[in-house]
Amino acid sequence: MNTKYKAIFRITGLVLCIQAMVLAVPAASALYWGELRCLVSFLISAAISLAIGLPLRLCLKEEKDTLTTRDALITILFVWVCITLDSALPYLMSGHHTSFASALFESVSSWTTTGATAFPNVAALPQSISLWRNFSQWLGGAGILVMLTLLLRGMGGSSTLMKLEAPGIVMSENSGRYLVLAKKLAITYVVLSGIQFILLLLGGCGPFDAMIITFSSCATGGATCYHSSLVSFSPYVQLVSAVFMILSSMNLVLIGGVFLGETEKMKNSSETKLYPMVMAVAAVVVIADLRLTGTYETLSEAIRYGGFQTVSFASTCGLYNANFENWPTLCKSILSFMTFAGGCSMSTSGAIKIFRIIILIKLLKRSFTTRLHPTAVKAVTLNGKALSAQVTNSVVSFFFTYMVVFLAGVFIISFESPDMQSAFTSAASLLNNIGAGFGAMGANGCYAEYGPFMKIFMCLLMLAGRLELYPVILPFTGTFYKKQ
Amino acid sequence: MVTWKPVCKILGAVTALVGATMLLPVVCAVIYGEWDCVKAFMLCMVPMIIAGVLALKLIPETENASIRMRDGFFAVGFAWLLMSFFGSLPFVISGTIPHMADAFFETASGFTTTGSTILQVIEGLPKSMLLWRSFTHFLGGMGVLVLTVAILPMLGIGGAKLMRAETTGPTMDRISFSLNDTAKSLYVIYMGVTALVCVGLLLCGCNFYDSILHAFSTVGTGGFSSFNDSVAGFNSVWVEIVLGLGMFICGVNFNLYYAFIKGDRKAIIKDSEFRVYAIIVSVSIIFITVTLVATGTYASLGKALRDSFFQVTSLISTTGFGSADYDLWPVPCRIVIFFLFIFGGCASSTAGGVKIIRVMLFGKLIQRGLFRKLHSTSVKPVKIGGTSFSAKTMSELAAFGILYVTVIVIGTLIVSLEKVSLITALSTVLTCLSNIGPGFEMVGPTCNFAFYSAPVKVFLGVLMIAGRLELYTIILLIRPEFWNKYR
Repeated sequence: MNTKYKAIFRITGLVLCIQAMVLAVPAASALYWGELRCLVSFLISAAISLAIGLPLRLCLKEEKDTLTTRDALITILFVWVCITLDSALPYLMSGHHTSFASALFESVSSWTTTGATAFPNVAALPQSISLWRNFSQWLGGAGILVMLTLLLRGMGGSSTLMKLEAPGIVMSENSGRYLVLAKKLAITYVVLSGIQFILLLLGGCGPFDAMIITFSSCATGGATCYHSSLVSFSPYVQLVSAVFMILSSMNLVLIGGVFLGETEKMKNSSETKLYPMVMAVAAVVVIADLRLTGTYETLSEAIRYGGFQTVSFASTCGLYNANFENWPTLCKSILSFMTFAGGCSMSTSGAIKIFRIIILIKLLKRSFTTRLHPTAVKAVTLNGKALSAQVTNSVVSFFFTYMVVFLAGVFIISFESPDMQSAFTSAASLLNNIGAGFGAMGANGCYAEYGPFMKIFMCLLMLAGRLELYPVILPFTGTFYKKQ
Repeated sequence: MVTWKPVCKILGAVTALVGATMLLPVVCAVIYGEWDCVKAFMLCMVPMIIAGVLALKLIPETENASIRMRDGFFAVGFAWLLMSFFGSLPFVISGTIPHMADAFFETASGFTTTGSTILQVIEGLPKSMLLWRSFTHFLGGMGVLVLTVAILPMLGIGGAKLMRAETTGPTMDRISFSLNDTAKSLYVIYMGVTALVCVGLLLCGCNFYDSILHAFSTVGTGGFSSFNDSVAGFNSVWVEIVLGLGMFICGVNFNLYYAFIKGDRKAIIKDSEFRVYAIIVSVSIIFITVTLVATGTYASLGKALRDSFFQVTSLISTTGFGSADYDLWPVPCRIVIFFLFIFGGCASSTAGGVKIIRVMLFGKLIQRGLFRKLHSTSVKPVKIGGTSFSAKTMSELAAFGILYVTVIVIGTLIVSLEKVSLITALSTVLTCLSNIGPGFEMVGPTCNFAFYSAPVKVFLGVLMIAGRLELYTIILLIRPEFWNKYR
């Protein structure tokens, strides 16, 4: 077991330094709005992360060796744990969370773009704290490590990190171009957010509201600082948010390509073909069901609420513009199942991801053929390329691992759940990084009621979902510590 | 396309057979003087036997009598649909269950050994009809044994194949796997267990009718009872112990009993699937008992143990007898029960569900995935109890898992068209697919399926058959590949 701790700590140090700089944003806003206590807590958090990060970065020497997969997994886990711990401090120090578990829950929920909250009343928070919640969502959305790849230029192992942080890429791009890709990804993300921000400003939102909504929908996070998410906003604002939820749950590299006039790849990608179609079919069924059951009086209302909610759940965002708790069961089950599928690869959304769903469907179809013709040999293809057995195997085991983690989550959460539905939907909501759900946590995704240990477990569940399971799960298995 | 002649012959044989089995309820009806029922049974029985025999006689032998894969799927799938249809006719004709969809649901539930019912009041119905209901469990359970041992492996459907792969090695070599031999000896064991349970119940002081009826339901791991509140109607610890043990026994691979009888005394204990099964049962019982007492749901430890023992054995063997309303238990207990819904019994037993051996293999699959994440080049075969599983078996297993999840998702969407809660819809699908019986909330142990609309009832009936036949047989029938001449 030759863990390259030096390299791991160096990366962690760098991330912590960046975290300190990032904290300057909410600190500045606290200064601007005159929220002194918040300002102090942001500054202290920044100081702490700088105090730990800088020595780690400066004192450790660079290593030439590349990182192994194991090292990369440890790095990812380390970085996320450090960042979320540090980000929890402002919530704690500003006095808005009295317990450490709640503060950590809040910070993990933001960074993983879940958008669940442990605050009983988010509308009562100071503006700078709300800004920090949503800003960290936005940062988490891009996957801080994806951005880091740009900064890690020249450092060995960065490509391994990318592979873990944004899988799916392996299937669509050749491995030598991670850096170019990361740059594309980051630029597209920033540009998309910029466009949404401007569109919201044009629609009459104040700069603060526009910022909160942009951060929330572009990151497919779902947290807001309003009493009931987007319910009281104009149809225009809701429409803009819906559009940008769709965009950011699609492959950002391909969307970036479209900006530059490369529409070919976009057209050929099976994901971009299937994803909007699934979403459209689901939306049509939800809207029809809402109208036919008389939940809404007019078709336009059904379209506005049903359409928005479908997009919000499919993109694993979790914003809402309607009280869906009273919706018919068909709508609820469609929305619940959609959350498991998630968005496309290279997007900000969580969950299983469409490319895996496509591969699973193709494996299933193949099995029908092989039942009838046991000797038939048929390759599974994605975007016209045949996939190796190793790739399909890894997709299959990911899927079953995901299901098992989900069921384990259901079991543990059931200890503090009032009913079965809440246990199921909160596990799904946290693992798939939605936030909102049906049952006890409600549309706001409020988890304030749960005990401290449960909150910490929920943090792990969110992280597992966000980091595609393995970095969080492997440390709990024996193989991880075995010598080779 | 399907080769019609041999397929029709098989279907004819099945029809005649189901007709012939109606003799038992006829005898029962005569004894209890239920002449309407005698008439109803005779009206079905006679034409069925005649039609079946005619089909056997009139359809000429084909030169090349070997059945292709496709014909096998069609014959098996269609035979079960036909059985459920013909078996439901006496209910409709006698007016016990006036609606066709209801009767189909009830009979499918019977033959597939599910035990879900649409009857709101059971006590007071003609005794011969209730006996027929439970007798379908017995027949279904028997049919399943033949299926898993003889027919499904021919069609390449996991269960028995897995079992066979699992039990190679020193222990099982003596078993010959030719259809007649094994099936015959399994039948003997099956009858033996039925007789044991029946005698056990008689010793508990039950009357002969109740004993035989519950023995049928237990051994088929079905779950129909002659009481409104299922086994709770006996109100006897001893009955619950007898039935609980009976259900546990029937959730075990029947081939192990065969090996045991043939002289291999350690066959059962050494079997890794049995071990896991036993561990799951005991851990669940302990967990539920402790939780029930700790949360104060039950005041006495004895009562908690009694109910959790019975419910766990009843649900993991996919029987579905009720002795307590587990839907009122604390949420963690209900979640454990939900997991039992998925697991099911061992391969080659009369239980449904995913089957323990598959659950174990899924575990191995996940382990391998985790290992590969760290050592991407490693090649590690999947092994259980010294037997390694081929890549083909594993990919069939994976496809089965994907299909299982897909069917649950689609099924839940269809059921949620009704005015039910999310958990009701999900558990309805799961309970039908795993052939259990009761579910949660609106289909909980004290409720029934009467409120569903006719199309949903028919759909659920088909779902039960699909679950019983390990999904592929029924689902292939609605796939375009199946009907495509050129593929």
